[in-house]
Amino acid sequence: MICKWLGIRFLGLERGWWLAIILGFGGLLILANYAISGGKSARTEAKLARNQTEAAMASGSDAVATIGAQGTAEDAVDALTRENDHAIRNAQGAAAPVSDAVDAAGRFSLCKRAAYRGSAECVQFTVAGGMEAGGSGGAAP
Amino acid sequence: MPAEWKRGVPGAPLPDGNAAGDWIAFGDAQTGQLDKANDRYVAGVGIIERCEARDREAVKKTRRKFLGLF
Repeated sequence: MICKWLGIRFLGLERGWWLAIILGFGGLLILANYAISGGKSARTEAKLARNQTEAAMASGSDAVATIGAQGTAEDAVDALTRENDHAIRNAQGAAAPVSDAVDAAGRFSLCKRAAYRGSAECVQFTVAGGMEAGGSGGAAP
Repeated sequence: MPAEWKRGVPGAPLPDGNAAGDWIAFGDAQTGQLDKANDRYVAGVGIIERCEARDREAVKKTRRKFLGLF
């Protein structure tokens, strides 16, 4: 009745009861949705947990497969490195020496890189002085 | 993630001697190590992105429906 009154009073509707029906129906829909979805909250949480567990399991399998594929790809990289190494060392002029100064400067430069700090060869530079401390990584075996 | 991945890809072994071939072979080997590092980055990011997408989908599938229909 309030809706009918509102309809007549503020909207100037002759048949304010139409508004009453529409608003009443809307209210019923809201109540019904609340009753249905509210009652399902525990079930919803259980479903969420189940869905997330399934997603986590799928992600675990994905990670294992991806890491395995990466291992295979890295084996191929190493194989190419060996192949290239052989080709380079057998190329004409490969045995020509670079000057001692260039060789030493190259090694000293590399030893300043984080990847080589702590490697056996670089420790002698550290002992001799001139190398900064710290860093991470290390030379490949 | 494997512990090896957390440590990072190591640099190539320093040149064996002072021949030109030693240094050039070192440069190539170092590039191989760079390839590994880049591939690991792409693989790691891919694992995380797909994991996040699955989690989003799991939440989306669970979202309450209006009147249990929509």
